Amino acid sequence: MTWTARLQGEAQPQAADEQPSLHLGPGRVIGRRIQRLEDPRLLTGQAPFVADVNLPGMVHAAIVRSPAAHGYLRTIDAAEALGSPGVQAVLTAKDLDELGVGEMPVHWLRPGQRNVSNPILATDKVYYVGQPVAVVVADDAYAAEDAAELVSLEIDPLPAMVNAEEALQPGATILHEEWETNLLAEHIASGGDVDRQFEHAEVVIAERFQIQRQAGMPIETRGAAATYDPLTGELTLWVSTQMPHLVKTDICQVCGWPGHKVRVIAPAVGGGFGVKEPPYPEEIVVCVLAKQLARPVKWVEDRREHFLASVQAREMTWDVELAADGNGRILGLRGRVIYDVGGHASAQGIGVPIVGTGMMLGPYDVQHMRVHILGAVTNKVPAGAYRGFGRPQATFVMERLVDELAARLNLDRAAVRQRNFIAPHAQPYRNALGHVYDGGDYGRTLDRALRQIGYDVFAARQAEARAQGRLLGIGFVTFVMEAGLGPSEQIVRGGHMTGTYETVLIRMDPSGKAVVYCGSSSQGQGHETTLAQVCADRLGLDPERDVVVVLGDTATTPYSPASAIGSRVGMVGGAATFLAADRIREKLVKLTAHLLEANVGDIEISEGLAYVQGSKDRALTIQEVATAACLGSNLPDGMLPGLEVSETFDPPVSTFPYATHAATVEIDPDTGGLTILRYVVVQDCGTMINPSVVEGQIAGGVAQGIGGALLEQLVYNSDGQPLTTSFMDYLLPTAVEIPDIEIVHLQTPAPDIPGGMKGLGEAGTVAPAAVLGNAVADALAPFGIRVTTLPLDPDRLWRAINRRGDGAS
Amino acid sequence: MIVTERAVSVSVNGATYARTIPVRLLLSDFIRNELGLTGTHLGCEHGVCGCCTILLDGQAVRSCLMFAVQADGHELITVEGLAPAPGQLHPLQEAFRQEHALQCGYCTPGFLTTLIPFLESNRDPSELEIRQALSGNLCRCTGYQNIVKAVQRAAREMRTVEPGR
Repeated sequence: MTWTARLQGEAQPQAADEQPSLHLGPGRVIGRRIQRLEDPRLLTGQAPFVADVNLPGMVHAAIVRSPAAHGYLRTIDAAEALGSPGVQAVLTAKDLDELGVGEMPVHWLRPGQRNVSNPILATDKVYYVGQPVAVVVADDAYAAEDAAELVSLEIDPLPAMVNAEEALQPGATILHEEWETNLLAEHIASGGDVDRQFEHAEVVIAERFQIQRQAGMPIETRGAAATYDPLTGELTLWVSTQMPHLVKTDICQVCGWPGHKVRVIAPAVGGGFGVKEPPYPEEIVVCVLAKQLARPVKWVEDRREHFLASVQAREMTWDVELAADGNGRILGLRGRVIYDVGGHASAQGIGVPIVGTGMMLGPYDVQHMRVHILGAVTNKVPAGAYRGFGRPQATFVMERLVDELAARLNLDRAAVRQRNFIAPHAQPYRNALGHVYDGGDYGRTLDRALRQIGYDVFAARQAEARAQGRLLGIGFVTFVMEAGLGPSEQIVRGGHMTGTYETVLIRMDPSGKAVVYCGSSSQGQGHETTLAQVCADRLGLDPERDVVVVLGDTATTPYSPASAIGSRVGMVGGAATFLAADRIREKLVKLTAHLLEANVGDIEISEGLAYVQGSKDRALTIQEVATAACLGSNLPDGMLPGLEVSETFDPPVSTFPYATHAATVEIDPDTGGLTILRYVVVQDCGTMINPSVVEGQIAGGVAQGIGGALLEQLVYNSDGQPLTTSFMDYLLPTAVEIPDIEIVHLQTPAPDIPGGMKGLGEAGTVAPAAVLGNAVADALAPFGIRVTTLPLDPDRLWRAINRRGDGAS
Repeated sequence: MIVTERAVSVSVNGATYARTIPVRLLLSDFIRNELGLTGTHLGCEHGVCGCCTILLDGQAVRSCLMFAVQADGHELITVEGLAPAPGQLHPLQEAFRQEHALQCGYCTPGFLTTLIPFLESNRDPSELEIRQALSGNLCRCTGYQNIVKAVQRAAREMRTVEPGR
């Protein structure tokens, strides 16, 4: 079978009536449901994850972690551990200091932010259970763990502060005494004149919302393995990370090592979801030890450690008010959010609530808001990124308010939304905080989702069910998110340490095959496939047979400051690939014209051939043209030999993908258990490089959102002891809880991005908590319950139904 | 005297391995580190996530919940032993690829090994039966629905391949 036939054979019709029109001709690979190139090695157990890196002479590290949530670290006694069988070394902060190793930088800084870096190992104080204090290295992991238990820590305990709101009260126990406050940093997200809107508002909805602590919880924990060559001074680190180049930058900065002697490789990475965004102390420690011991060193986090030492997320308390007129027209939003930072700033500082609040007004034409963001430290694991990055919380708050507004005015929830949506003709739209949206028809996604889920007949079904004592509810949410985060200049001005551009290098050799080098790593998003599709599409190649994508190795790939964060690789990396491939194409076309003595404008490239339009007998294979270019003979005047192009794409703007999610639920009044009956997504993410990958990202994101809405909660007791440190306590959704996600695509190419991609990776997680919150409120409307607190677990719902305790309200 | 090491002989993917190993060595670590079969992954080491599932005498078991010495004399199959030959895929692996039933792929070996005996004992499972069979394995990437579709596809394929059974 020819590759064209195979590709066409694999393209499956989409269920949606919004089937995008695909180019046939140039543009025949973008948009295809090709099978993923990375799958065979993953399916057969051949893909190397960091735990699989085994080198001769390798020793293993185990981390000694603080058992106390808060206290003065007085002494570390490692004598017994050092005498334990197989132990090679014990490392503490004192050793790091003597070696001149610095602190972990915080990458996101606000003016006045009180910490800009954090110790790698605890020095004089511990701030959370799990904080790394010492490292034991032994011949095998069992011996290292045995010895780690023998390291004796003397800690004078201090009262633990586990509530971010209380942490900001006068007289609260202060974690970082030199700050004289627990306020890490603050920011006011403000636009328009919101107080004036409230003066003439006919309706004000005031509410308090609490979102629980959750975590991305990839199934592969973190891990790092390093080796150092004393002859060359070169260090290689394999690390399970989303950002290999930034890990390298931090290693060089913290250790004072030159960049050309440090190589960081992200091998196969088993899920990231934001958890593996920041560089971590253990990664630095492994490098330092590999150099000091002149032996390869490996550390693989276990699941309990993951619950104690990898960034957690989402925990916020919101006090907000929404102003509207009597017709449900929203006038303004104001309030305050307190973000629980944990023991110290993670790399992301208070970036999470800033990003979330930045798009809180979402699809609504409202020009007035002010939200005061306060980040408070508490004696818990530092909080950072988790897929969605503040947007799920802000969307939950805003969309619950909109439903409450509709209920207060006795208006239809869909009608209130339609009344407030930004009209398509008002695009590009500048929101209250200055983000300029790049187009969108929000009303269309809502209409489409409600049609799909049968909103018009649901009220009758619900009434019928209620008459039988059954509780059905429907919820729906339309949101817009900022993706890609560009341009770099603007992001850096906003306090983020790094820009958000991406550079892609494409090399073609005389065989006519292409290798695409991109500095991001992949944690399952399928970048290897999608970037190959973009390259193949532009160059008339078969993505499976003719293109290889190399990711995540700092020695071979161009510098990538942001890598796999912010839903940006498909969009920014895809655009860079698009541009680089087009430049290779341009050269192939010129050279073909020269070789065939034809006009440049008449040359076409497709299906592995370069030919004169309309006369395929005047053709060269791509291999023949590439051979001429690479060997450097018979080139037109002024053309340099070689087929190697590097293109940097710095997005001139962010993109604004949008969607409507809708769900129907049934709640069992006897148990409080919730079943999702249907879940519909209508998504516009711009150009889809591979619709199967897009749908996979949406479905997975929605599943995580459902977990966060219904099941997942990281719990600490009043002493700051974590009570959820296993999968027995922290409940991830299984195949039984997650329904089929029905996905409908709209496809409006992003106007400012080559290729038209808008970014997608996080989109699925943004809405589920809000959708299910609205559905639960609808189901429980007869009980007069306000849904303001997550998770919506059976206990909370049963209490709400039975009016015990605070229930859902 | 406390016995700290013991000789074991285990068949893995058809090859026999004889080793003297510490008695406390987990079967999962034995497979990964002693035998170098790193396709068996560890996600929790407390028996919940299902990543480390292997076949022991044809039954799906969690290798993180067994000591290697307990596998002495038994026949194991790991993810590396599922495909009929190098460069080929088992119909279940093929179905996973066709339905985009994996993303990061870390949990995938455990899903495959869980499903093989399931599909052998239930050649035409309903969606609910599939979901219940999957419910002991955690996947954080896919939302499961493409895994369900892959199992349905594999069941169809496997019935076609061996119609007589």
